[in-house]
Amino acid sequence: MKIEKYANPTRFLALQEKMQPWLTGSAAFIIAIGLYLGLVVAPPDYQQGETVRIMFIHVPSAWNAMMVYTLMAVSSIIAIVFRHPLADMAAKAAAPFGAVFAFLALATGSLWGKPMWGTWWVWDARLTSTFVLFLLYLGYIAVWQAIEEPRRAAAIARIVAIVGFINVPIIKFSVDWWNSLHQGESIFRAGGPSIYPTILWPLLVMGLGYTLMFFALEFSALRSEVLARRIRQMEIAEAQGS
Amino acid sequence: MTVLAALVRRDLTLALRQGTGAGTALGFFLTVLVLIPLGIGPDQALLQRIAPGALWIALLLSVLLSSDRIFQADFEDGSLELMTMGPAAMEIVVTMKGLAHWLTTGLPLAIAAPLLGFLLNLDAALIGPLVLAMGLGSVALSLLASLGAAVTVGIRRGGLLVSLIILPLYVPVVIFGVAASSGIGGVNIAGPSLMILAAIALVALVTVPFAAAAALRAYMH
Amino acid sequence: MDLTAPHDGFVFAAYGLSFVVLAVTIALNARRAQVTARRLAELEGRHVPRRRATPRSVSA
Repeated sequence: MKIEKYANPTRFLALQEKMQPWLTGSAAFIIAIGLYLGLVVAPPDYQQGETVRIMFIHVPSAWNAMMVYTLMAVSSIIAIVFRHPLADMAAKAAAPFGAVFAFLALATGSLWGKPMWGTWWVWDARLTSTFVLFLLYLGYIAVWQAIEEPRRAAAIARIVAIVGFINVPIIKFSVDWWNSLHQGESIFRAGGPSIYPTILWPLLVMGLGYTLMFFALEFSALRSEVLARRIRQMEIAEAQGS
Repeated sequence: MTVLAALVRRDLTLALRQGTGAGTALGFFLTVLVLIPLGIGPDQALLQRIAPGALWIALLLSVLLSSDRIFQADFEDGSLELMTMGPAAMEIVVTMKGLAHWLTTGLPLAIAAPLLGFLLNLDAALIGPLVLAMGLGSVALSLLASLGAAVTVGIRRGGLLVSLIILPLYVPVVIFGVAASSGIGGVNIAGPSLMILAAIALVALVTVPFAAAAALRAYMH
Repeated sequence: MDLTAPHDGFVFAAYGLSFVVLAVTIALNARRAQVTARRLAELEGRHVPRRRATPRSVSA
């Protein structure tokens, strides 16, 4: 299956119709397994007790938040270089989901941190970087909302996505550095649980489940974008014809 | 070379004549500076601790929020469109405009900020390092601000959007800017921090013109 | 899982919040798909052409 073959929106719609049930079904199935492994099978952590189970939804959310932004940046580059018709729409559709995953990473991180460190929020490197990533998502979404003309909005959105993406490692590096700088003054040690196999498997399964869930959502949302563009064209044609 | 100089001179002249450059930005800077102790209390020891960071935040907000005029006027009266057909590439135009903004707003503020640090009981020993760090950091601040201006030039009330897009990009500048000027953990981190600030400025100098030019082109079709 | 452990509330809250947020996201996405499909069917029912009747002028 060549990706280029499905560049044509109509062909994509056909592919999407075939794949959607599988994506949705497998996502639900894998997540169900992951939840069972994480909540029933995995034993409580030696130090953290039951709260370690939050990791099984916190880490996959964070992974997704990073992955989705990467996909948006890659889509934007593809839009610029290859003028692929679906690329802009794919990025636009993905952004809200990425923002949701970033938000969940922050919220579950906070709920994990309170029993672990005693405060609802800590400016550790990971949470701070994720916070900034969440802001990057909001900025990208805001561009699509602020500019009415779709092609102009796409042009600006691409730039914002790519510039933001270039900055993600820079931001991460600087926040890591900043965090280590202030480590001595803080009252906690930012660490994580050691990864034992009983914790690794639920984590990996949930990671896969969350990824499948994103793609299930993305395919559906991208379909809506393609159809929405068609609707716009038809509405314009109708207004012109009458 | 004369084209580049002409571009810069034009913006400098306009800024000096209209007087909406450094003056207003400085006023904004002072306002933010006043709000800080009002918000957290006049405890001198506390203010001294946060002075470098607070000055940096006030600086970056002032630079960012004064940037909308970089392209706005020229965009509205069609001059920008003429510039695209001129001898200089759009990327050069953007760079020169960003440079002019830095000379009229970014750099003056960067120099004034440490001198106003006494309002926050800034440790006098830090004034020198702060001037250096802010002078260097303001290059990145101005360049990124010009990118924000380009991305939002055609949007009404784009001020909040500019902040949302550009402020996350300021994170590394703030982090290394404060580290270069506040002497946390001793002077030995100031040197590397300054070098990283310089690196960030160089990266911005190389990437911002292309991104900003692309954004402006999107608005002028 | 020990349902009486001291910090269980946080685990429930985290999973509960995630479930609610994701459920809302999925629901909104599904609703958008539904609305879009309905609107498209409506327009296609009126036999509205996909392309403009008159060609677009050269300058945008």
